[in-house]
Amino acid sequence: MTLADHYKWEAEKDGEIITKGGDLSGCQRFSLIPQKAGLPRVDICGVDMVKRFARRFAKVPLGGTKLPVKLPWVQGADRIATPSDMRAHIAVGNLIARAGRTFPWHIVKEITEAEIILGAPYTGPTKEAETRLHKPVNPEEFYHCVVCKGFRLYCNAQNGHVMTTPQDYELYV
Amino acid sequence: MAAQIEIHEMSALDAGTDKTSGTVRFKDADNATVDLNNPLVIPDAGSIYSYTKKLRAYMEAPPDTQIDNMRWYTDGANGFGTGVTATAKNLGVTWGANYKTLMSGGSDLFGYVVGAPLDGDGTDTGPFDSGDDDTYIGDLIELQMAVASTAAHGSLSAETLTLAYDEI
Repeated sequence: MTLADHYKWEAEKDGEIITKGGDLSGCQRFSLIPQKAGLPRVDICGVDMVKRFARRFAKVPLGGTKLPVKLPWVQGADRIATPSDMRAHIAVGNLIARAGRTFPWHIVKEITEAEIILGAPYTGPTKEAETRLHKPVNPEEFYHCVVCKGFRLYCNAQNGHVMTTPQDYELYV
Repeated sequence: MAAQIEIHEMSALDAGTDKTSGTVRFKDADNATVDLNNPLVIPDAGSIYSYTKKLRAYMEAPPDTQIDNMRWYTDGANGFGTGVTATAKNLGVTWGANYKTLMSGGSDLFGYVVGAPLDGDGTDTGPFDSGDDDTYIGDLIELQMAVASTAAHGSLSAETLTLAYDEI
């Protein structure tokens, strides 16, 4: 995803439409125009504007990852089929990590997109693969920021939520 | 045009693997593969250390104007559990081979928070623009996990490292 996927911005200064840069001094209007249905349009006018920028937060998981669904395992089976509807959302690498948390790593024979294959029927206690809480990670977030005299406005580019803060407030999520 | 910035796990100063939607797994081997191999084994005494990991931002597509104000931070809470710690430091743009001995000069990764982030462009300073397209930007960030004898068996919950930057 990029900044322009959900919103495009424009500013108006003495009849001229501006779509690039960060300086908003002298502008009479600033607009965030949604590019997807369901997002609200955001317009700012009647205030003294200073500048604009966007802030992106890219997040990378460290040390492990959780899958958003459970993989039920049955005692005595030598494989676990992954539900077809989860395959589009889960990389094989994540599946490997999941299997590694569920079974002794040395008994896992093969992991494909469709199933986890054990070297022999597992004889340990029946359990659900990965029972700890899933900690979802939103891989990225974008905020548009407009700095005006007296306040600044942050708009979440994914959902259009807006918050106003003091003029010098730096938002980090 | 909006920028597309990726987080890469580095294998050299200017070569790495895109981990923007992936995972950085600390392990007892020097590679970026997320697999079951080379787990960190809890020692009988003292601590063991993972091979260091190096991260850097990569400009896959350039911004209209510029990118700057790069910073790395965590949520400040070590969720790895008792006996498991992580350290980090900024390497600038000086590449060095990864190693599995104690990192010198590093600080607690979870000490880098929103209000006190790890600077991401102190040496390779921004702003970065279209002239930096398809190149690595900002500084190398080095990470390492330590596992002490007091750690619990099993795999770890994931923690999250955030790269924030401003785009115009």
